[in-house]
Amino acid sequence: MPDDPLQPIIAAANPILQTIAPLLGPYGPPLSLGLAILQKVEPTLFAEIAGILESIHNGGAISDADQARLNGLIVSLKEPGGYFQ
Amino acid sequence: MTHHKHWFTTALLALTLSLCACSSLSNSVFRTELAAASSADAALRGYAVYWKTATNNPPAYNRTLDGLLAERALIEGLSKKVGASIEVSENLRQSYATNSAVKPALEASLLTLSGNVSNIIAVVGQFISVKPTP
Repeated sequence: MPDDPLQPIIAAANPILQTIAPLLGPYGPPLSLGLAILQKVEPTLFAEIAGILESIHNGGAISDADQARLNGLIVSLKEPGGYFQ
Repeated sequence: MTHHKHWFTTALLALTLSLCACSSLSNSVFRTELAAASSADAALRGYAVYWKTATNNPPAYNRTLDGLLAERALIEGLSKKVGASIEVSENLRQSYATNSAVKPALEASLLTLSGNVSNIIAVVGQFISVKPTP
């Protein structure tokens, strides 16, 4: 019987998702599964995204790190083969 | 899927407009771009985890290997659209700093961007909703 790889990941991520839920706002439902998986497999990246959401929430200034992150994401999204390696 | 798409698009635009009240349009657009890119990135990473697992035993996921490869190709195509639309929006945002005449184009680019992000999240959600059979 094959295991469902998603269920334990989601269960482990639930506490974190509940913590950042106020920051997710309306993003929550459509993103929760992707973010739950991300929190498990890439906790550092997940923390960065949580920070970004907090920054949006607070309307903070654009930092060099934010700009670099956006530029990096654009490259990754335009070359999605890297996600499957 | 359609419900989620409209819902997410509305959320993105509402977020941008709400931020305009307390910071510059350029700043708000940037935050929206970053949130959208991060959301698409998270969806892709989540799908990649699922895809790699599913390819080890496609029948258990009610798929064929060819079907999974086709799904991946679709996702990659949607990802390229998201990346390109964010790039367009970001270029317009930077132009806006010295040329306010690009504002209508910038606003239009946000609509395209939010639609593309909503689409990839909806499709990923649909694909990974197929759980393995016992």
